[in-house]
Amino acid sequence: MTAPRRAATSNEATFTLAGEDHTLANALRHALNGNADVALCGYSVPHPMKREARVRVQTTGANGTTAQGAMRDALLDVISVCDRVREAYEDAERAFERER
Amino acid sequence: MLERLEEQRHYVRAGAEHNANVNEVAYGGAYASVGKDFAFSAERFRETFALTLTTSDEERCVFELEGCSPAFANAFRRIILSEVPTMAIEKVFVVNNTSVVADEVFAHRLGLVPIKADPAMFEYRGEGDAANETNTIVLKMHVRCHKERNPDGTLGEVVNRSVYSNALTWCPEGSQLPEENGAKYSDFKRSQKEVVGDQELGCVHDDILLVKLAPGQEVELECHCVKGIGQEHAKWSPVGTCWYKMVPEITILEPITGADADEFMKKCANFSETHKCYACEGKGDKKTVKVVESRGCDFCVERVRELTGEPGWADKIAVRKRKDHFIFTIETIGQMAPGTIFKEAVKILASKAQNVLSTL
Repeated sequence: MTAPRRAATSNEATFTLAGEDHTLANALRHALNGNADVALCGYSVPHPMKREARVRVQTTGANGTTAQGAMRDALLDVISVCDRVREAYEDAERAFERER
Repeated sequence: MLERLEEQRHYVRAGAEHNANVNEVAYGGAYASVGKDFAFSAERFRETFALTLTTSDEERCVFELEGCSPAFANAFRRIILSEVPTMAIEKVFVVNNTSVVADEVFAHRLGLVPIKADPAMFEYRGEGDAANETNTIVLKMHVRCHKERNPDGTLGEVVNRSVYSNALTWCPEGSQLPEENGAKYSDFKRSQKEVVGDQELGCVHDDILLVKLAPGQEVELECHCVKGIGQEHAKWSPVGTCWYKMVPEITILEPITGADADEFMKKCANFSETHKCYACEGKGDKKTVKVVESRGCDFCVERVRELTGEPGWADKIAVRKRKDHFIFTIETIGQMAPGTIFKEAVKILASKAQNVLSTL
């Protein structure tokens, strides 16, 4: 799904997410920007009729963080956010039932 | 200074002419020089995120997301609208249609009828796949409009003038159409009842008007429902609407007293007897406005916002909106409970990330 245009050790890369759009790309952009080792991050959807999004990542190179490493962390963050939201929704449902 | 920065960071100010501070500061380290760290981190999210359910029934639920970036709230909204799968009529085989509605128009109309079936029990039907009990639901309809014949031979009431969605009946054994070119229109290995258990499949609503007929007109057809997502066609969207809004906060910046208090109450509070978002304390010049309900209500927030555009009022009162606190509403069209749809959307976002991760 993703094709970094440079080597895995590079501190810059453009990832092409096939079949994805703003939904995932924007969430990833947000997660990547939270990483202090990321110098720049942005995404684009090159053509609205083509199901493809591109995420550009550049790292400062500090702490040995590569673009691919930052991407991996951001993806794990998104998964972790989803887990927390699901948990929270289930708890909220139980609390709502108790009060009723 | 710091206070101002924090306000800019956390609130949109809804002014009379324009909204201020609407942008998100993307770079996490932007506030490092003042010793503040607002950057996103999964650990911090886990600690600060809060979700409370305020309304929930079969068709609608409202809940609040606190400590959540619009990037995630919007991802959930987009997935709910266009990527949570449902079942919908995709193919219509028309045997006879003498009604005034053309076949293709009628087929499109049928496609939009919500189908009551749990999509989790079905599989997607690929391009060349045969219709079987795990990927297709077959519904048939045969209605004829005619005049009833009375016992004395005269003609009486017209029956089936209007055809409703309850005319669509489920065929658990598959297509009822005769073989054509040696092949059936479906390839069911067993009854669909074994797949879905004891639930009856069909339409969510019995009373959707499909077509009106005149005496002598007849419609006979068979519909094949398949699993799909809203991205391909809105008929597969599980919701009518799904939206979120930022939580409004009405803040008094400088005490509103005396004549100002009267003006404020006249313009923003006393438009209805039952409106209780603001109250006045004291009398005469000492009269002061107090905000009882800081979120205001649908009727007063806009009035306050307009008031801030009038001379002198901008320093006294403000309508602000929290950038990371949302009221999220899901209105379904009946196939799935709103909570199920939301949980499904969360699962889909995680699986998207997982998919990318596995190819990295």
